[in-house]
Amino acid sequence: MEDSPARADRFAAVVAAVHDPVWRFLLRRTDRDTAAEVLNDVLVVIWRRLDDVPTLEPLPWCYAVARGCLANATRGARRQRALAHRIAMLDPPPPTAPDPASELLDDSGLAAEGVRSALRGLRADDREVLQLWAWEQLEPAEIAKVLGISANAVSIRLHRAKKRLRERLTEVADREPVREEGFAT
Amino acid sequence: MTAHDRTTPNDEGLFRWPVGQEDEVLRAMLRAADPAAPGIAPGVDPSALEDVMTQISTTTQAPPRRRWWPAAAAAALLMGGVGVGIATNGPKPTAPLTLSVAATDASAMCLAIDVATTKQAEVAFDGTVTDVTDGVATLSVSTWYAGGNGATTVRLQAPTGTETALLGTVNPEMGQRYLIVASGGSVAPCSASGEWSQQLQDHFEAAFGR
Repeated sequence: MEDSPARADRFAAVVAAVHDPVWRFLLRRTDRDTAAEVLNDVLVVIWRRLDDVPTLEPLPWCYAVARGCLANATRGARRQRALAHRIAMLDPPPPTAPDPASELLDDSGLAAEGVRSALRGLRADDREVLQLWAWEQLEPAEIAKVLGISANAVSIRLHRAKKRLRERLTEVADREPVREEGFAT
Repeated sequence: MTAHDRTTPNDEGLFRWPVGQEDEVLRAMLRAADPAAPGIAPGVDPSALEDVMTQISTTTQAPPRRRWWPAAAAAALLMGGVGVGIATNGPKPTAPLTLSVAATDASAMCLAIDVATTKQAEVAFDGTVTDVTDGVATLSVSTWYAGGNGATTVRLQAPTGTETALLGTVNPEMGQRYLIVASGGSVAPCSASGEWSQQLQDHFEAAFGR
């Protein structure tokens, strides 16, 4: 693989386009330290496989790489020590800004933690496809590239996962009836 | 009324989803619960990113940071922590090799591995665990990078008394793939040995000229 200024420029352009979303992808799925290490791994893979990075839509490809690197990192750490770097799928950093969609949540009476809790209760493959859809904001064809499965399979899985999450959220809302102002009585 | 039918708060105080907008609402709710949404979680530290990019751009041999040392330590633990026996079996049977692994502190950090050191290994292979029985992990070898005499199977055996370390501390998983190096009858805990990854394979290929 030839090193050249053009190659360095292309690398810089890809990184500029993907580093922030990939960073957030990792933060959503692991702790900050592991995310930083894995981000480095992802950048190395991008550099080494620059010719394979899609020109038009590099992000799903990079998410797929990040997913693999994260799996490697978490597997290795888990086996080396029983404690560190376990995946905290939904362990959020403390919010520092108002949630833009909080109004909707207020209306429904379901706090963000309730939604995360419902998400945690799903099967891993349901959770993963929902996260890619809602958090990474990917469409089924893009999710298919990340997961390495067909878009049709993604659509089916996503449909079922949405249904299961809606049912869980409904149960949560009905079981813990919410703030009074959230419901008409 | 089933859970399905309820979509927004109704007169009974039950939750109902707005008909025809279920997906929209669900996606908005999930986005509101995003733990790393822009504006909530901090972005990448630009100076750190710049450092990484500079390092990557100036080398194609090694990643900017040691990535696989935990896996290397894991591989060392897999082999018993203090000593292992290794025997190779294949179409051209060879005399069993006896390798040892120096005792190691699993929490210790290893320095970055480098191609020059790895290429000195006498034995290097890519293998997948096909069996774990009584403290013995059997690996099916797909590639020999160095040594091996074409054997197709490698058995990693913990000596008596360390089965717990082998099977308890680090449970070798069936189907897990490893890249392993050994020299002078020893698998060093901070060697390039570790669970397979594209990065580690790139490293092996750079070291052994594949």
